[in-house]
Amino acid sequence: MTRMGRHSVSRPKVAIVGVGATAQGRQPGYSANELAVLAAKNALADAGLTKDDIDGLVTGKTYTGPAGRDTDIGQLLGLNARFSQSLTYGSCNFSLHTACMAIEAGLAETILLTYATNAGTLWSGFPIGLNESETHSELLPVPAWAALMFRRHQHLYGATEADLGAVTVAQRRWAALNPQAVRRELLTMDDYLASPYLFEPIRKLDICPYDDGGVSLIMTTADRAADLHHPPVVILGQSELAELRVLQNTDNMERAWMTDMADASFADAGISRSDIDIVSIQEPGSIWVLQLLEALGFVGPGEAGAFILEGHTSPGGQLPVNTGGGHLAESYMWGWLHLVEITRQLRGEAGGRQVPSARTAIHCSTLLSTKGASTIFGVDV
Amino acid sequence: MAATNDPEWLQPHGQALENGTFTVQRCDNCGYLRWPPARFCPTCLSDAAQWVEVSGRGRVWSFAVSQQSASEGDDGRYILVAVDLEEGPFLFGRLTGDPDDLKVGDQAHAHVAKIGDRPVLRFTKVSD
Repeated sequence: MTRMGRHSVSRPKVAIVGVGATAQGRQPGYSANELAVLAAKNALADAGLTKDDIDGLVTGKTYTGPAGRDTDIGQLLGLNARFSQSLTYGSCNFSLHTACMAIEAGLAETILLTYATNAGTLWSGFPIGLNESETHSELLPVPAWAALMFRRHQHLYGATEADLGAVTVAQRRWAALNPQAVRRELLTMDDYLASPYLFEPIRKLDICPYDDGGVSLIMTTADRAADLHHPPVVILGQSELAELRVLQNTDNMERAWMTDMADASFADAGISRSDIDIVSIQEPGSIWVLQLLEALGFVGPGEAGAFILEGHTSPGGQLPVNTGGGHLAESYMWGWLHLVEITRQLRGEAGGRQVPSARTAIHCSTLLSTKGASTIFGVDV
Repeated sequence: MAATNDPEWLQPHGQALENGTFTVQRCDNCGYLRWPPARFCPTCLSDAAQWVEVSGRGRVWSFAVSQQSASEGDDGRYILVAVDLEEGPFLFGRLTGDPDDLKVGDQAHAHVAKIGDRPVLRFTKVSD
């Protein structure tokens, strides 16, 4: 089974056929690599496969020390694989694209991807302090980056603090329906607005706290997937864009360039934005959702705040966003749980938060304002 | 920002700061003014460059107010600014002043201040 991509090159279809996660939140007593193995066991069980069926491994390094190397996790897994790779920035889409490329190139047929972190236990609180040299570098912590992005958005479009708060309020509503979520308590707008600033105009509730956990996916060719028991969640389109000159690019932090990145993934998939049932955005903080809903072209510039406030991204809304609760409410797993959530939604396994007849989804991720990536998924498309 | 263990090509920047001047590199080959400092021009990859003083004048692209102090010399809250310099470079820094009196788009001016013996770059708002 093949499909014709935008470059008219015949490529095998690739699909997610298994997902697994550990409990999220605090997992004291486990190293990150051990959590990665626990997640992998769950993904194998979900796929109905054993590790003998796996001939590829993709892992992502974490910011918490040396964890996440394929050579270490592969040894813990007792895995001899044809293909084995770890990414330095191994968040969701980038790892997934690496696995797709390996399968498309014939380097492996069935790949186990796994990521874990114990940042929740190791790093309590938010790293927002800046010494002098850091102030002048591009190494600003996420809350500072988020605050600058949001203030600029306010200036350009008149976005209000309630517009931003609506993101966290909406994602808590999804999380309340997700047994796996860490932050499931509903949040009112009054609660949000009464909460303290972390880095004005950003509040603590706008930034994702660190969590512990592991997440794993199994990917293979659609041909192989047809023999397995879950409906395959097929990768319809992918794209990436790396703006590595970062702040030397004009208005880089506004990230309007993400529109081109999204356009490329829709061109690759051969579907349009109006075909999308679920939007997923990897968000270190709420401003990512506000800004990227616009930059990805789902609403016009400056329109995201009102759109979210009106409930369109919430349960029952016309464009569900981050249906598992996202980093803000489910768990901070570098976008990997977003991929698990998409898989569960497209298989119809999302329980009380199931989006009726969801068949397509897009997941977008970014590394601050440096790298962007997106993937479009479908079942029965 | 000045440090004795800076590589040789970077040392003029620290020496200029010690003398109260903020400099950036201008590429000898293509003329691009680059920030942050780097060995090669990110436009043409030439390693020939001159350190030139910039006006320090720019516009506040955005700003944020930290709710806690972070390092020596802080008296609590501080203002983080992102500034588009007139000459092109975009940089982050701290602004000394009242956050309630600051808006995106305001003119800001960079000057070299001292924390103890150490020179640091500081912005202040310039009234239009």
